[in-house]
Amino acid sequence: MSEAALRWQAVPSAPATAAEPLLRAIGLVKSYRQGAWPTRRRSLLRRGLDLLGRLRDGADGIEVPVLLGVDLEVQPGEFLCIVGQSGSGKSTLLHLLGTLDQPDTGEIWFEGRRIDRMPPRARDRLRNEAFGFVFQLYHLLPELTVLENVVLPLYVRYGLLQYWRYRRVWYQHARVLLERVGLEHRLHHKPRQLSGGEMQRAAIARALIADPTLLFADEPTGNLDPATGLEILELLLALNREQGLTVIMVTHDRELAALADRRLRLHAGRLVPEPDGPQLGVASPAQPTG
Amino acid sequence: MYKLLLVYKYLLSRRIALASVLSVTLGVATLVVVNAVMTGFATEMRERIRGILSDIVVEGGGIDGFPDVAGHMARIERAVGDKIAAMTPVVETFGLLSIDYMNQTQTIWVKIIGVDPVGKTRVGEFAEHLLYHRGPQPPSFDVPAPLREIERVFLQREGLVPDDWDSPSARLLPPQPVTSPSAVRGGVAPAEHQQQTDGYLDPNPFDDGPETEPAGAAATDAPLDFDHAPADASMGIVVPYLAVAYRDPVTKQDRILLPRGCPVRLVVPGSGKRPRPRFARFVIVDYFKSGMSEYDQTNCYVHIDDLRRLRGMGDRATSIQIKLKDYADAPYVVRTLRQIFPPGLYRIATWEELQGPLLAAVDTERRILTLLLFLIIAVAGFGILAIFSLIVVEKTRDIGILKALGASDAGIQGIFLGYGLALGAVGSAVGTFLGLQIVWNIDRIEHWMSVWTGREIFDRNLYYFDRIPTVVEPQTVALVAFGATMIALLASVWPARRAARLRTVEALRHE
Repeated sequence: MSEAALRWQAVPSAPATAAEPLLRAIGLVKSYRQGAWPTRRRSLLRRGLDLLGRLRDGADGIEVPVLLGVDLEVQPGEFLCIVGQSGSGKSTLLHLLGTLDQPDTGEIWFEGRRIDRMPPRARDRLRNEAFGFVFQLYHLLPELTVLENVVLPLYVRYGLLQYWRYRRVWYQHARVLLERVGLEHRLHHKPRQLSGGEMQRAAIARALIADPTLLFADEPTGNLDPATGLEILELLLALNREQGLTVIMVTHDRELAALADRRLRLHAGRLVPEPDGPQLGVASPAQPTG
Repeated sequence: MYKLLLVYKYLLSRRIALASVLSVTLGVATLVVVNAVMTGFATEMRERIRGILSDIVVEGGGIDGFPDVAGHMARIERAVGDKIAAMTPVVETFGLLSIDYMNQTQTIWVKIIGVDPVGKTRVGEFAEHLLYHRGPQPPSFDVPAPLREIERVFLQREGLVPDDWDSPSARLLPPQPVTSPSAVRGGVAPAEHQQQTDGYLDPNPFDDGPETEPAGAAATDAPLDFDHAPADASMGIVVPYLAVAYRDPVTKQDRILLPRGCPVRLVVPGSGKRPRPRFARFVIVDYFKSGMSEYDQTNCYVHIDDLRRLRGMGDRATSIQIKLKDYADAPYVVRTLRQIFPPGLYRIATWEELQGPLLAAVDTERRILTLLLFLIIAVAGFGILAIFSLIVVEKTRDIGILKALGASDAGIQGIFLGYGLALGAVGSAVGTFLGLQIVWNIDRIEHWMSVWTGREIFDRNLYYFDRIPTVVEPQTVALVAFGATMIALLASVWPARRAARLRTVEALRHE
């Protein structure tokens, strides 16, 4: 912590806030290359083709800038909502914050640790232990039952030995969470047998099983009808209120966003305060939040 | 942990992957069956050869052999007596066997082996290969009275007086029926016969003058009195089965053309520096049928003493056959005997060394077949590769989810490697099971297939096996199953690496 504090002061124009932010992003820049190869390291053959393509007026893909310097601070226990038009880069920002992707430039700090340039294994563990993810398309594994999907993060974290020793505890924990999200009657169903709302509830239970510090929700209501979407949002709000879970949600639905503590709008690659929100959450150093 | 769970779930849910492993299954099954049958063949063949040859053979002196057989055997006994179960002297030579059938004379070349039936039975299988021999007592070359009677009938029917063939003059002027007995033979057209024999009697380019065959010299040969033996004393012979039998192509029944008791004529080279042909009449007492067509075509057995007398070779023998108490001692015994008997004069070898090329050929055949069949499994490996690549594409989003939940690249790779390993193991296990089932029921399957296709799959004419011999070698089966599993694993390496390299964000966006 102390080392982190030193680093904070080393950052120019770092605000002297009383409470240290849980998550802090500084000057995030990200651009995408459209039509690029989806694997991380590219094969020799592919690189050769790239070279040929570049000789032929850059057929490799077009650089599309998405984020042009995003600054953000998230306090513990906050329910932050990021709104913006589709294609504005909301999901990209969320992926960067959740270490699913790396920014071109900029820094991300989480609990005093810089997380955007961590070694892959440490990053994987951070995601598993500290972050929870809820996606628009639920992203449950179709082969597993609801219960198994919920326990999946624990499966990922632990080996076979711990599984044998603690599986009853895990399943009990998962049952409690599923009860909490109202799915206690669907434990052994496969995801395809569930409705959209139920799948999203299962996904929320999965995000909670590892007891995360921070929950990322990427358009969690995007594929649901308004009533169900509201239920899901209320569930997230309740988790935030009752358990102090920090939530960063991305949505394009203003009505739902109005329920959040703080709203930011991603516009033209930068975060600006949502104009008609009652509170102003600002990432700019000049206006520290409190 | 999640790797095992997902491998298990994928194994249950992805039918198409199981289909891809079917080729591995079939490959393994084929390999198991082919190996079992070929090993069975080889084993059966080796057993038969070994039975015919005995464990170790000491050869020397060409077809004239070496003298003082008893002394040789005593020296062997002194040197390695504690390792030896039994030994027997053998005289081997080549000769011509003339058989009369339907008024036609056929002469074939044969290998004539003089054995002591009791000793030969002790060093290897001999009685087992005799068609009519029954019971535990060793076979005998004595001609029993009923066969004697048959012989007499044969000779009478052909109008042959015994001396006609066996007289010294006949011996000196080989097959010369034209001189006197053409009238006696009756059935044969004399002119035609004359022509044939005329051709046969063309001046021999190797004949270096009349003085080489003086009547006196022949008369003074030791076995001369034997040549004059009366018909009722002619000796018993075991003739090669395939030389006197043929299989009816319709009924599949063997027919023996010459019954027991039928007289045959034998020409063998005499002993000495200048071998002269020796003629004798024998009576068929049994047929040699080992199942090895090569031996069943050519191996004639007579009593060693009969052959010695006929060839005038005293107590010589061309080889001593030795049976060991434990065949594992063979290299030691061969080494020791090579020190005793000078290598230039004697050839000492195990039966395997004697039959080296044949055994090596069978081994080579099996190795090449195994290699080819493994290539088939390798082809199946490419099928797995293709299907796995498709599965990785199909599972792209799931891979993204797992990575978002904290699964490492190595973990993702492990899922697909484990999946490949599991599929390979399942395919190999099923293939092994299938293969063993086929092996254990191969005769029934063969029969069934023959009935269905109307074509005999396993031609029993070729080998005279009543059943298809199979030997399942556990280590070979294990090796095949392991190899096939490894091929499946190798085939999944590339898709697994691809899966591990997928970028999380793009994998999550994958529809």
